[in-house]
Amino acid sequence: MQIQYTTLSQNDKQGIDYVKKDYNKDPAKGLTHGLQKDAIQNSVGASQTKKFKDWKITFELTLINGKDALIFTDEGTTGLLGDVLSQVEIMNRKSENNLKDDDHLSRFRTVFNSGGNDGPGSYGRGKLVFQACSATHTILCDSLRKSDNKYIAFKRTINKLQLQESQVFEAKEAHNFIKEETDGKIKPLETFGTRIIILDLDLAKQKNDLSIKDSFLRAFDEKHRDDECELAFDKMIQETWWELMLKCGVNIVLKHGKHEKKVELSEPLKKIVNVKNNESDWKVYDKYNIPFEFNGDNYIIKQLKFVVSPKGQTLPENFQKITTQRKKMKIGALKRIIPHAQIKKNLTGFIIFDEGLEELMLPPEDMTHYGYDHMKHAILKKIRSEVEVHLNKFQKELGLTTTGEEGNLSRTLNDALKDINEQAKELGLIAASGLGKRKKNFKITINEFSLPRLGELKVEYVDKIGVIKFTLRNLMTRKFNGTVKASLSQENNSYNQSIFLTNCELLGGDQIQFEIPKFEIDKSFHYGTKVLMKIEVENENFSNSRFLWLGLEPKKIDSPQIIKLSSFSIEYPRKDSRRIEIGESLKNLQFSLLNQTPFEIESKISITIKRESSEDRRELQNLLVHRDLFKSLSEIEKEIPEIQISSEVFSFFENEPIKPEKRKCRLEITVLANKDYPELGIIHGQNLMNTKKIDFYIGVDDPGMSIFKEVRFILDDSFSRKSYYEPDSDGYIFIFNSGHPHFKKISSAYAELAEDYIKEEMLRSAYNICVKEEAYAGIFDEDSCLGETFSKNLSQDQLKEDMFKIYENLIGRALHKMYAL
Amino acid sequence: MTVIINIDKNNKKYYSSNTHYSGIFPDEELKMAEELNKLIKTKIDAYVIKVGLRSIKKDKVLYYWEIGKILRNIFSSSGLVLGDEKDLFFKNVRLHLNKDIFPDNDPSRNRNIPEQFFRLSGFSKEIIEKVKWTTWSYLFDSPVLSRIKNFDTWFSKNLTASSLSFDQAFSRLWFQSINVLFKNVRTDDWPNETLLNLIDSLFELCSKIVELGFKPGEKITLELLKKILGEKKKEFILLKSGAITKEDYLGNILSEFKKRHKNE
Repeated sequence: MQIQYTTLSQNDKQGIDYVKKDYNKDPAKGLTHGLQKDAIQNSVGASQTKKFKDWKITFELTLINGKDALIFTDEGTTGLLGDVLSQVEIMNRKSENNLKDDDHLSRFRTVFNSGGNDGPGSYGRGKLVFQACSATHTILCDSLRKSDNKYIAFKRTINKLQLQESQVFEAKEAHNFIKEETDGKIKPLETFGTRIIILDLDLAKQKNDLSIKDSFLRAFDEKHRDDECELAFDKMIQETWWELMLKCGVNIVLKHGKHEKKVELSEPLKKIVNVKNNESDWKVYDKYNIPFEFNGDNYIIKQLKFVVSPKGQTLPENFQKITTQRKKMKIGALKRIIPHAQIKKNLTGFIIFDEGLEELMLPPEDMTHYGYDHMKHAILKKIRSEVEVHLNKFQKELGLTTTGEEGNLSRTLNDALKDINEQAKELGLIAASGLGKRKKNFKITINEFSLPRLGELKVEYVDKIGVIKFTLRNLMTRKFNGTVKASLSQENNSYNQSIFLTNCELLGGDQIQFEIPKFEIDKSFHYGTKVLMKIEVENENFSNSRFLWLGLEPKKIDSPQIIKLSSFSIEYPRKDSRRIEIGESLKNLQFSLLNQTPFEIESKISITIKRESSEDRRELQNLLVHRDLFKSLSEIEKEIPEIQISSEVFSFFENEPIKPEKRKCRLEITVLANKDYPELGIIHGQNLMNTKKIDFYIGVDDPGMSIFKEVRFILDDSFSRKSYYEPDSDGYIFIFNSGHPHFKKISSAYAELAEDYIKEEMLRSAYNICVKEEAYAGIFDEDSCLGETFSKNLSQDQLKEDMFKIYENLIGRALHKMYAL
Repeated sequence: MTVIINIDKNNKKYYSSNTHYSGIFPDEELKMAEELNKLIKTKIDAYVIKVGLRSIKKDKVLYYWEIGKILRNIFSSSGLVLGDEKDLFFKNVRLHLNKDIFPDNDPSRNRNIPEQFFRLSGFSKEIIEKVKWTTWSYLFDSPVLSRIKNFDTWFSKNLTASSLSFDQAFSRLWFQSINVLFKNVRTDDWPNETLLNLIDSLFELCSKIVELGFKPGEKITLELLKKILGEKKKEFILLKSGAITKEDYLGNILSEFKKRHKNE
């Protein structure tokens, strides 16, 4: 039987949507930004000369067929070179690996065909970016090729979710094609180069809250500043292509109707790239041709420049980074480079590589070429180390000495510890037991509870109690279908009085309010004993309740207990530690406050963050101040979805020792009386609730949540140990010998491996502690090389050689887990 | 301006400025910082030598006041430090106050000794000599009293007008009264005048108790007043809002005090 194959249908529209999404999320800067970047990048690669002689690109906003269109035309370029092939022929060449680097035309015409960095059409996503900018995903492309003087033109669009391309018209046919498709508006190219016409320009708002058209027009609007370089099209070009503009004096032009503008460097970028040391109080560190060794090969960092603006003259946020360049184009920031807090907002810089290094730096780039996925690639680690060495030199020159080499080692030790802590549970190491609480399925909030007499909790049989209003919230994602009821009960009394019963259907995340009508307490309840009023979701083990004081006066409530925190939850960035890195957030702070009195009380609820070290208890941030009226026995709910630990407020911690006690912060919830209540003895400003305190730690795992209470380094050890641990009052201290020749060798020859070396040392100490404490979990339940589990092996008497085998096996297994993750 | 804020054991100097980064200070300002540092050191050392260690330890208030005067003079007349750099100036001063002679800062109480000397020197010599240093320090530490803008003027006036001795026993009685009524109360939103009136009322209450012949240092006086003030918090709140007069409040508390003291 002969099998017939057909090509599976694919949703190309979705592919384009993915591209849009990628460009609209960090580190990318939006589709408009991506459009200029990819357009110029293609033209740069096609330049006829290395020095960009006669090279020019013109972006023009115009109307074609009554709709907005964006055209970009390059000159002084080669045009789309290579054979004019059918799609089948292109696929054949591709599958046979016969598609050459300079087959620019064919490369441009295929999707997701990344082929280096030099030629037009070499970009996988770039080609789709242009179509993503069209509301109908339609572009026209024509090119006058220098190699054969041939003029070609074709169209790409989308039809029934699939990408389609016209045939490639040549010569006269191409002339007619372009004229017809643009209603005669566009004339065929007369100089060598390529032109792309985005038809039916998408007018939707992009990541910067402006449409592509608005961003383009903003370039002609001199009134509005755009120091962040994220709104105006010309600013985006400057920010991306400053090196090309500065070194090659290229001609980039924007046109709109009669308006024409040559893109030139403007402030603050102009200053940053040109400024010299001490000029108008700016400080500059500028080094050229720095030798750089990686994996035994030698490379050159062509330029590394740091610039610090004068104090009080903060740089735009977008520039407060050290960024990399590739092919004279800005890529993105090197993460985890932490400058001294004093210059954090004033430091910018860039690094330019030689060709070999540029190639090494290409694979770690993220898909949109705006940065790096993470810093775990060896080359990124090594580059970061190199940048840090120079930054420290510069900071020393500036007198900012706290982050010297010792500071770096402390940070590396701490980074290693954080990484191990995050996997501690799986590795069977003694650390935190987890901060997460089981999530509740429901929340019942009593919003109103009317008592028969204002200011009195005591009730009688004859009293009409209520109404009681409450809100039921379904915290699950699934629909709830069940019974909600309220009843009265009493200790040592089997009688139960139903006061409310209803069936309820509630979608996940929804809420509903109920009202319990007025009721009397049944005489079957004993007088002089409190009665429990309980609202519950049947079969879900969830309720909220209040006491009714039948024939008796409750004990007087002291002022700090007038308001009670009846529920509270908060999410830390990590499950097993209260460590928060700068830039991370505490999420979903939710709490309910219950007025335990029969009075209405006006209050001021405030949430603040304080530093909580013995020598400094400053308030760092005021998050919320709210004035609320608490009704008797009722609750108020508060929610803050995100509390950002911003560098603006918390960066000073980076210069503090990496110790929990120095980096402890406290979030406090306070409730104060907002006016005088003489009858209650409450004065304006009085605390109505015991302050709720939530501790967290900046950049360091909290004690008890970390495998080591503290990490330290020493410069030498008389026993030549690489590392060891010491017991402390409530934990262990890891001590690392940074002067050990083995570490010195590793860290000088392969700086990027220093952290891995430290991690292994930490693991050794951590497993020693597990054995000492006989705490066997996680990895210890796995089989060892001797048969049976590690924990069993270790619980039995073993030959010395077997103990070594077990220990080595344990370390090997843990390292395998860590690095295979 | 640039100011020296620390000198380590290797004699390395650390500078700070409200206008420049650490280490990026203009040479001229570094020179002025050195001058300021030298001036502070010279003046303090000269004064300590002049009056002698023993005298300072014996009559703390007077000599701390004198040092405060010296600091005030340097701050306002030397031209080496700006008005908004007081905090940096105090850090520089701290380097030259020998810990064997002078008390130390206490961050847990926000106690800044150079600042307290500076503040003390704002009072007249007659006033400062009426009160012991520990009491001054306590007064300056109090967050409630520190909030009151014109507290120092009020305190001087009261001490001048009053014939009573503002000794440790009296100050203890007064501070205790403040603590009972202001414990767990944040006065940030209160008008300055309201707060000052209440502090003034409590001062007058304690003065009257002494005038009536009760001994402020006695346990019974302290405990009874504490109890009554706690029980009569409603009246205190009414006094705050102006619903009752100071005379009514004081009369009410004093009559209760006399009555119960008799029965004790």
